[in-house]
Amino acid sequence: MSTYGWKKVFKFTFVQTGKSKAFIISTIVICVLVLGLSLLIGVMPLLTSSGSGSVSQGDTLAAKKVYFIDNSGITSAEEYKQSIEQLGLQFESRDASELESLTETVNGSTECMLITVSAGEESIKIYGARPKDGSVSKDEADGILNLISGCFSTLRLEKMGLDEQQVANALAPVSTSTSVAGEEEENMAVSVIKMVVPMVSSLVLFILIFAYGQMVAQSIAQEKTSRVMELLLTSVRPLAVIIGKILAMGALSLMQFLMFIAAGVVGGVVSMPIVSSAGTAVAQSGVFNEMANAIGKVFSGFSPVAIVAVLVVFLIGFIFYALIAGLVGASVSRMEDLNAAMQPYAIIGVVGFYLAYFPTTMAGIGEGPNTMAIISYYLPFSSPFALPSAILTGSLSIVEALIAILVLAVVTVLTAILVARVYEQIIFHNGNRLKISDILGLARNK
Amino acid sequence: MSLTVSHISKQYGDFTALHDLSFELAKPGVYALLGTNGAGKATAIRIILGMLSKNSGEVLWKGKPLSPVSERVGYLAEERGLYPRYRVMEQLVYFGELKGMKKPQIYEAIDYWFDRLSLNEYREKKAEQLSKGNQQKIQLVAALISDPELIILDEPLSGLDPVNADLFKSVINDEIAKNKFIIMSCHQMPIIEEFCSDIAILHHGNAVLQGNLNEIKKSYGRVNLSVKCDGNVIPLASECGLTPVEVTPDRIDFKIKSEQQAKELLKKIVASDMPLVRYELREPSLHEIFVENIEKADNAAKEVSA
Repeated sequence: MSTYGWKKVFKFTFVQTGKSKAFIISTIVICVLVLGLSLLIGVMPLLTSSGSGSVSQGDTLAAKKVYFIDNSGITSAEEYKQSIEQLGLQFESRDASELESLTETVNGSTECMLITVSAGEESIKIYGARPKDGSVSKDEADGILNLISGCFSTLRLEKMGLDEQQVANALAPVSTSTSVAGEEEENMAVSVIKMVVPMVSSLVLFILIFAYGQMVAQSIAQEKTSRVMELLLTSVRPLAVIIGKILAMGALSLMQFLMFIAAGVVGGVVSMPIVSSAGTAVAQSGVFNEMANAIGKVFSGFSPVAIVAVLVVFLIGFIFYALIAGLVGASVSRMEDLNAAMQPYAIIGVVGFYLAYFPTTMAGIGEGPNTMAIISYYLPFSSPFALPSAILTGSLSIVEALIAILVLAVVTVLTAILVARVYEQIIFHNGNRLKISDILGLARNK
Repeated sequence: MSLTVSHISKQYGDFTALHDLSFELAKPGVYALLGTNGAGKATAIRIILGMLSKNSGEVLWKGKPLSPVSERVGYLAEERGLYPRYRVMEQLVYFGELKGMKKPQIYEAIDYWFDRLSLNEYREKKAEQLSKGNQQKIQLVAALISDPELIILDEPLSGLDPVNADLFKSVINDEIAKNKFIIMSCHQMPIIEEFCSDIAILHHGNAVLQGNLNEIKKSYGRVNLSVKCDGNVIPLASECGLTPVEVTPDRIDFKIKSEQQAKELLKKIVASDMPLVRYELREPSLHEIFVENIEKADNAAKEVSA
């Protein structure tokens, strides 16, 4: 069957759809949304760092002077002097009887703080008072108190007779984690990314593959019902029309996908200097390194071969869905019948999507791949949505991925053969909407 | 160089859309495909154009199977189709490219046809912004843009105003003068009589009459008699065994069995001194031939089913 002319159909469809208002507006709107979202995600650590209370030597602080009262009976005010002065603050030790007058002084000042250390019945309380006008922020005050709290713990242990090493050991943070026996432990960032990647990936792929498939159906139905198809078919075969159209829509879909990724990358790149320039401890606290390490761990399967495999899956998956959509588009004689005719296509797509979405997301956060996730990798309706993230995150071995791609490719080729057999007859069918059984009957009788 | 359509048939399950149609255009000219709605004309055209697969037969162009993909064939479909939201120029460039034309050739052809059909002001308009007549002109340009040797016109003049109908007729005459092979399907019989040398009348997928239009008419003989007198001619006609088939203020029409009947009536009119205004003995019109053959085929079918 001749496919002469598919490149011309491709070019025309690509150019005309690409410059349509609907395409331009949807691309701009989604790019802006992705850009905004990635900016938000990028500066999220900065926003969430509020109240984390961390200051260190060299930070520029609004407070200039600290009045210190220690009536804990465990430590004395003078023992904190060095730590306070290291922050560039003036230190003044005061008596507990001055508490009331000092409170008033701090309240009316713009750069003073009052810190008290006292012992309760069951706990030690470290309290900080800051000026009423807000010139010293709560973050800054919390940061200074955290530092004093650390000093208190160290001093208390030293007073119990522990040497420097023993103190360090006693104060070492304790963390807990679990993992599958024999496997490396996962931190929170890895778990979150493992859950989010398949979720976002399957959703984006579903939108691109499914929505553009619908556009193929709409375009073919429009050409058929407006009788343009008859003019086209004096120059090219029906198969050339559907191939050119599907590939053009696939290219546009891929182009839009890459633009969304570019918008996301731009957002990430732009947000980084914003966080860094904030000069907070967050920027220096290793959050970025932690995230980078987590992303590196999750995308362990990330390689040029994996990227090619993902693009191949995307392309074959798109062709598979678009062939079905094209057939549906060709089966209607009136545009108003298209929505009803598209119902089986929509059901297949949505079921395929959910099959990919939930099990693979669960597999990302669970104890390993579950049965449903494995099925979704090999089922042609769901594999276009499930495979890409599985390949990039290394959830599937190379051999498993190749088998899944092969299954998808074989089913797509069989679908293409079916479409080629019946498309020519369906495209000239006028009258009642064809049912699936009618289409299969045409294929058998051909 | 010729077009040979040989024994083409198309079956959809138990339904026969076209049965064993054959005809030949041995030399340039216009061949008419006539028929009632659903007679199989569109099926025949689609098979000739290679759009539709056939169950049997072949279509040869210059002795080889016709492939519109490799040959330039112009087609003006009955139901017009343009992309409503795309610009006219862009569509025509696309259709030209699909015909294998280079862009300079396409622009040259568009310039020619836009001048010829007075379309220059619509170059950058979207198809949906054009009137139905102008859309039809754009369709004609799309059909003729590649200067095809074989042209298929399906109802080319339907829906056109008299001015545009004359414009289309002049274009068809130009194409005939350029020795093109044209197949025309049309329900307006005077148009067929104006342009076509050979015809096929289709009914329920079968060709019920085929051949050279002049010869078909001759084979019927001069069986129509139109008379107008200053007086009542009907009693005289009755004496000759003639019954009027149509009476209008302008004339009275009779069907005659032989020219002898017409001569007898003329003698009686002259003998009666009745002033004779009009006396015309003529062959049947294509319209009459068409209706007669369709009725004959229907009656035959009824007899078979009975």
